[in-house]
Amino acid sequence: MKALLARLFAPQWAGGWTAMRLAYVAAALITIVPTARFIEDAYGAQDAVFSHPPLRLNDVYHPTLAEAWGWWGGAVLGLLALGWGGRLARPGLLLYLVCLWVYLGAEAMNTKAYHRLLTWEALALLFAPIGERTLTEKWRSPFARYVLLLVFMAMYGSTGWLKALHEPAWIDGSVLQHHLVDLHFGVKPLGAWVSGQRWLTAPMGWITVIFEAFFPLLILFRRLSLPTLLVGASFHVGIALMMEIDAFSWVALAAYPVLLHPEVAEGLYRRAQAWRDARRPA
Amino acid sequence: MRDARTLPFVLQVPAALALLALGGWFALCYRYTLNQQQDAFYREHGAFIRFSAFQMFTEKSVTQATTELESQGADGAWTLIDMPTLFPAIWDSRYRYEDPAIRASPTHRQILASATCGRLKARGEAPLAVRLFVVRWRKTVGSVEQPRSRGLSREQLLVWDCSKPAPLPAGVRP
Repeated sequence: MKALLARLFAPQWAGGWTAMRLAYVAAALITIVPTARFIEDAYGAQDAVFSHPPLRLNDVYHPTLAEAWGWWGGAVLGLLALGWGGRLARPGLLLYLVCLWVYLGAEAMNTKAYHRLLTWEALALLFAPIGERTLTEKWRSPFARYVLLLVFMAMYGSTGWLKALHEPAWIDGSVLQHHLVDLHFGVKPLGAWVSGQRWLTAPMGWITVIFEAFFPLLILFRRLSLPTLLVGASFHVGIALMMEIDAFSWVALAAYPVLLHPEVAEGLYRRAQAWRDARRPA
Repeated sequence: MRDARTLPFVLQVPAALALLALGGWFALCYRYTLNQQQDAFYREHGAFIRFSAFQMFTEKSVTQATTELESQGADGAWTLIDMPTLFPAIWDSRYRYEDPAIRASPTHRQILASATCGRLKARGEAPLAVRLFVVRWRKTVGSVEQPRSRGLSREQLLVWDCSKPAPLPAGVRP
């Protein structure tokens, strides 16, 4: 038992957490900062206020317009502290999480998958060594990475198996065809064009289902983690180019530096470091 | 010397149990997502499960749907309201007022209708009532334009008297 736990919790290269912390801050800022345009209309509105599950905060508290600005500002400030790192990282993350959910609760209707994913990723970051500098030269507990792996295995796996078992139209490409022209998250010019090409949407549908359904298995193998994540990165870039849900792609991709097997990630980092050193004038 | 450290042994057992619990929780959420329509427990307690369940773009949807509102002026005539100028908040490419959850809930419809009355009055109009519709039509694949040419339907969901107060959540301070 002790030997098994020692193997399970053996320290892993921690450099990926620095990349994820910074990518996470960028993705969260891209998601949250632009919503300031709608504070008066939605988050701080006093007329169109809804109490909607799972966020029933408005049954007990709804912010005034000034308070809504305060919650937005708190979330942004917390993210900046997380981005700064060091001793500010963890308090910043906590401030951001609290402010974000009060802010989302005030609006109540538009808690998207990327808000949930941001929160699950933040949970992993809370246990990660985000307060330390020079993580590229350190090896730390893999617990936070395991949390993140479980989140992504659940996310990709559940949506992949639901597609595989319950929607046969993923095989003929017609599901993608119709999603790409949905007025509420599609109709980008490239997506609209692709939606008319069944010879493209059919294989794209197969790749989506295979990638999502088998991600929980493939990501566990050291040698397969890089190709699996490259397919995932193409999948998310494709979504960003063809659909109006760019935020989800950036939020998901922010976690990839940590999802990559730490030994592979360290190897890539050392190669990049050697390449940079070789280009430096003597 | 390598700077390496991990959890002390006393924390490794609770950490392993926490990981098992998290994995079990996600498995449970998947199981309820799979059978959500049939399961009474999910319908009753689905809020927390929804936070952990992911079923993005699973089902095929061949129909576009949007929300339209009309206001009744003093002369009794109904006029289509330019909703995006009254309610400009938009996520992805869907305006907040178009959210299907608003159409699905009688209370939410009343709140939207009442807010529409209020915002029209703030602009100097004097609506007697507003009415809310859901408009559906078939998607056109291969095209940015989505003409309302096939399978068009317009269903009235609510008529709201603008003199009535809205059933706002209790947390809103008067």
